Amino acid sequence: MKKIFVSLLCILCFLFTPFSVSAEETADRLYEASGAGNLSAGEILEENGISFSDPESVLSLSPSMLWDMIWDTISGKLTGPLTLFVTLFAVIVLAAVSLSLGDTIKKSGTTAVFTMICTLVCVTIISGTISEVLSNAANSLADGARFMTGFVPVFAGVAAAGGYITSATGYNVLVLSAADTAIQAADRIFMPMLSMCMCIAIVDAVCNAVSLDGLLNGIKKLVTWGLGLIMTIFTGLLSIQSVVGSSADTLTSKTAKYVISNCVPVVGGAVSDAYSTVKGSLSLLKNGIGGVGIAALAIMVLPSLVSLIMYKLSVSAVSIVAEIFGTSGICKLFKNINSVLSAALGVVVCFDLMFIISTAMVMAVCS
Amino acid sequence: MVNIVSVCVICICAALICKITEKHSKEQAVLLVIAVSALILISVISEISPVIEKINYLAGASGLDSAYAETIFKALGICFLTRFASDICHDCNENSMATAAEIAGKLQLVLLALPMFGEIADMTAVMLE
Amino acid sequence: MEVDLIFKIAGIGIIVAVLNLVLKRAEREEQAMMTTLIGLVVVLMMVIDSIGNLFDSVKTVFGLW
Repeated sequence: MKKIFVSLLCILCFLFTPFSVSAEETADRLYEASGAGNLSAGEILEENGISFSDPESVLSLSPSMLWDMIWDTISGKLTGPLTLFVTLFAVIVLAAVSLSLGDTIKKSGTTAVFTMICTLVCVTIISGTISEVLSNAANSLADGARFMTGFVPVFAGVAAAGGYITSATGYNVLVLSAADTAIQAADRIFMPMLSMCMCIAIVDAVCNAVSLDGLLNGIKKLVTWGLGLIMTIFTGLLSIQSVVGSSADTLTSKTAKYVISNCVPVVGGAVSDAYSTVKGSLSLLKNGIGGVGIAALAIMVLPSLVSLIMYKLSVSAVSIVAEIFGTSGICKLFKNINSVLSAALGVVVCFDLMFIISTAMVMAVCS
Repeated sequence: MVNIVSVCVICICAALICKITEKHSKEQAVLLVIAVSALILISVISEISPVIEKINYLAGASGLDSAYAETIFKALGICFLTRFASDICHDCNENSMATAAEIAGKLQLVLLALPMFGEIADMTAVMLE
Repeated sequence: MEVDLIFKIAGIGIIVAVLNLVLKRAEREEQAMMTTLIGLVVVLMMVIDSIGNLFDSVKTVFGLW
């Protein structure tokens, strides 16, 4: 009697003492501590209906929304390149008119010095803007890589929890090392190399005696070739690992289900079905996280990419104008700067595509 | 308003008169040449000023620093004067004086461009850091 | 355009050349040299004016000094 009374009292105590539900608080605290609420990419995503707390909202993304987002970024970045183009156009017109006025039948020595002065003016105008654009590109590369260092463990963890352990491990190792390499390379290799190329371009244009065209073109080809090689190896390795790993993981999960349904006495079938449901929901979660991650990375990188492309367009247009007006020295300067910008664009696009393709591949193969 | 026809006619006539007077007094021929070229250049240069103003306006509207446009125009003026002087010296068969005038002109141009060299050196130093 | 100046200079040049020829034929070398010199000085004074004008207008238009 006493035992029953004491046990009833204990049960009543448990029932009436409120326990705080801690999972949601922990999630909120983590969200604030990570600073995810302050990301500008987050704002852009929220505007378009994708939120960090609801991974399924990626399904609502449509091509027209994507196009609107890109178009907004482009129109925001339009003023800088346009101003540069108009300024350089004015200088080229000035130089062309002056050269045609000052140079009559025979080419005198003063013409050469005059051409050099016009080239110097163009260099002074263009250098500041372009070096800013290049450092923005390097920063965006480093930022994207840092985002991946945070994103990859989470994604791999969810994939591993969903049963795709082998593929998740391979993805984790490869992409994390690639992200680390990208961060280091952006600061130590990328920026110095680009600055050096800019200086070579300037020297080549200003000094007629030295012709460094070939050197610049060689560097650009080397960069393109090297990037192609790295991207092929990385993607190939990851796809092989994912495909092989996913077969191994499927085999493991089927074995587990069979064992559960046949060895657990009463509720075997139900537990095996519950396992399938949990696996399916974790897979949905993983795909949603992957989708949001890809979207966030793309948005982080989009502004500097767009600005690089716009400046490249502007410099190409100016070089065409310079060629039309016959000022070949100035035209050479702009062609060289175009090469440098292409190299920068290639590196940034390559690394970001590597990350996006690897995440998409894990999402596709492991489901 | 300079009529291109009158300019050409005057040039041809002056050239013929020079040919005639050369045999008897070369100095008169040279002086005639100097006078004709100076007068033609004066009338033409006053026509250039609307062009230069238009280019200045274009440069200002596009945000080009006016110092650069000024530098280019000054360089153009130096080129003009140097060419004029050295060609007249060539006409007088004084090649050394012509070369001296050209060298002086080139030096003056380089002096004009010196501040820009300094700016570019600064920018390159910043880029290479 | 000051075409009159050009005609004056051309005229003086032709006159000086003719006088030179005539005086040389008449074997008055010194007078020939004197006419040449005077003609030179007169034309030079006319030309220097226009050269000064030229340099002034170049300075103004191109903004030198």
